[in-house]
Amino acid sequence: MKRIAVAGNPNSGKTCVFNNLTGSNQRVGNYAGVTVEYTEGYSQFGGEKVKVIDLPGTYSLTAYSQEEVVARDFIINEKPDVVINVLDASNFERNLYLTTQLLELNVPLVLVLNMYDIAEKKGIVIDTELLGQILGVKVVKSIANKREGMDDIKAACLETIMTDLKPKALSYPHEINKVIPSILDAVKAVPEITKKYNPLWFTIKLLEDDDIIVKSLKNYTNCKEIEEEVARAKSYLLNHSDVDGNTAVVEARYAFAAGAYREVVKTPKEEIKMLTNIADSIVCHKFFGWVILAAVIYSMFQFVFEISSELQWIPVGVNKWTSPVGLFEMGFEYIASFANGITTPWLNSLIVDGIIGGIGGVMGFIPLIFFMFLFLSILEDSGYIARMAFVLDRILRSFGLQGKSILALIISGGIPGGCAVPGIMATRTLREEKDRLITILVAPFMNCGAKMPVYGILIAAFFPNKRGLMLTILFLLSWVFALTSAIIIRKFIVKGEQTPFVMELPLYHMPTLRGVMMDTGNRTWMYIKKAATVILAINIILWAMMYYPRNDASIFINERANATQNIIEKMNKSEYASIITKDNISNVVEAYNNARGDELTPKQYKKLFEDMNSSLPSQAAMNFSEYIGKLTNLANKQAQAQLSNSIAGRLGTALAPVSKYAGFDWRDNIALIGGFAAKEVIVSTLGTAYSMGTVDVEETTSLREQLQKDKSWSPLRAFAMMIFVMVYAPCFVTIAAIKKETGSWKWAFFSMGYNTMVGLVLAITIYQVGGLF
Amino acid sequence: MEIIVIGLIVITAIYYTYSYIRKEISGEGSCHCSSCPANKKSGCSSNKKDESE
Repeated sequence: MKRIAVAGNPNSGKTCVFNNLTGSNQRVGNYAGVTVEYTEGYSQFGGEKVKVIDLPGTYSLTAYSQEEVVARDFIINEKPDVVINVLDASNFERNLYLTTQLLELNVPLVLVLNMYDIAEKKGIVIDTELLGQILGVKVVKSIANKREGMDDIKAACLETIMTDLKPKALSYPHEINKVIPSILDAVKAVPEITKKYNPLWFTIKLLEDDDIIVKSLKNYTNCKEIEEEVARAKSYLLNHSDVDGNTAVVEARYAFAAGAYREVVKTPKEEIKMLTNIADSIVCHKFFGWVILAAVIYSMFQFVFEISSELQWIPVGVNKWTSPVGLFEMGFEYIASFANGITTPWLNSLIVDGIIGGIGGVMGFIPLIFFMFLFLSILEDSGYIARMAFVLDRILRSFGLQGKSILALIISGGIPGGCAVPGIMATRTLREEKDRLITILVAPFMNCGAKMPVYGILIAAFFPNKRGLMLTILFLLSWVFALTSAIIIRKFIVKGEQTPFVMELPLYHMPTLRGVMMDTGNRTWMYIKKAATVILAINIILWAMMYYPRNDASIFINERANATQNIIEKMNKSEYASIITKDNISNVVEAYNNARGDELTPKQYKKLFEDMNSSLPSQAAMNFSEYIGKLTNLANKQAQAQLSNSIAGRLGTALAPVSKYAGFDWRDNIALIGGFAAKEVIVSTLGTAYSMGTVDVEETTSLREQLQKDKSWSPLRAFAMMIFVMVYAPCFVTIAAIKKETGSWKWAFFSMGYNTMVGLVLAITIYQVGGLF
Repeated sequence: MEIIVIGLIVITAIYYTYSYIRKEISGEGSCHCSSCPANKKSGCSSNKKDESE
């Protein structure tokens, strides 16, 4: 099967071309550094099935960063049949630098001038035919986000393969041409090298002082001779051109790119000031940049809450409207009403408390997650996220982090809704190991998508009028904590200097409806899938830990019997004794007990006594109400005692002596332990714990309402909880990612311990200091 | 009976969770793909779909 590799600068539209060719739906970010590893897909080229490989976006093929090494290693080792080099036609000259390096590799090449519409708007007209002649390759124009030019790309690839078209060699300046032959001869004398590498490319890399290639020399015989030739060549260049080998080669490539650009680009309207430049002067302004950033974030959160849970815009009957979140709550209440009919106690508890009470809480956030991803997709596709990174980058410099760290932090949830795992993987693009380690360690502080349901439920319950503001504060605090931690870690734990970075700002794009909806749909679907699979599985485990061991219920049975006896006696002594007979009451009580055994649910109370209450004289009705109240209290006590004595309850109680200073009780502790598996589990576990531990005559199924009713909760406790959730130990998968990326369990355990300690200190401080006011 | 049924359910849940975490650790998982701009891993379900086609 033929193999086609897709290479290009970050943000050149490379992944979009790959998606169009393969029909894949890989995410495309309108900011640099999206692809860290390569992806494979399949496509039909002229009726033949081919494998298409999306290489990481790189500006060059040196050995400075991992994505560059990944890309060039693939081309060298896997020898694809054709390499499609995607160039941003609107930044044509700069993109040509990578092309020069692909030419050096002498691989079959097809040039794709993508975003050609934007280039034309800029007044850039490229003579593709002439460019093809100069480079000896096929050149195709494309507008990938509109799917234009894809057939041409396929045709060009096929033609390149069929005609075995090889690009022309890059022409170097006289000085370099003079030193190349002697090294080349020495290289050619080593068959192990020529077998694997293009000798000319290997020679250039030696001259360029490429770390990996220079080190690899040691593996070959005759390496001394090659080294001597390289040293001689460098010395010659230094004496004759006053530049070292690396600079000479880089300058030669830039000179070639500039020359080719001058040759093929016709009548550029240089004076046209693009909308992008005007917008950037405001959006990236030192002061207004921050104002706009805060406004965008606040608007996003406000929009998300308003449209998902405030505005009642979904019809649910004649003149009856509800919000999307309300609709989900209604749906789960409806399902719960059916499930309540299950008489087997454990099955009832598993379905009502474990599944509906737990997963219902996570699923209830589907509308919020959907609208948040919708907003983020639009921001990403428009190019604003890159500006956001630019604005934030300024402040990063003072915190011991900078440059590419910002992209990793944004991916981790710097803009809420991310995930620390890909964020940590994205740190591979950082050149300095120390920068990389610090970024890995602070990435989990960011607000990943899994933390959003926790914030959502607590904000909706305790800060209902300040939803947007609260989320904005949490967004800002996550950055403050991450950056402060970065300073501490750099100062005391991982000492080292910072490295410079130049951030690329792509042009603004008009997001496409298809792209935005596909992206939003995919991300929301992944959330649903996760909730319905692994979150459900974890919740079932935690439910079992909360359900067992079962308590001896005899004390409560006796107390209930006493209460029943009291009401019967009271009724018999009253003037209504003739109306309400002992048998009458006993029958009802007995019917209740038979129906539920020792398991009490509020629905049963209401159903069994409602009819009698309505037909009773007021005094008798009051007596009944007291009786119901007493039984409810007993049921609550029994449920609480059962839960606190369960495996999970004992675990939660064991941590309570410490956690109580942060305002957390043993139920919160259980939920937070569950959060180690995945942060969404915090909401589902709280849902289960409150559903199992509370007996409510009104039968409230919404966790938000249950938390609001619980007198032990307060806005202060909720805030301390949110801060703790933001900061404490990352989930298992993130821990594993830290281990994988740092190559050591030491840093994975450090992250767990350090984050939990910082979270605890912050939560205790907030709760204790806040309690003083 | 109750213990057996619940035991089976819990064991299945533990096994599922274990497989999920193992898959994520090995880099084949896709749980984080929903929010991953670096969503380019060859283990992604979307790629597997392409391959099967």
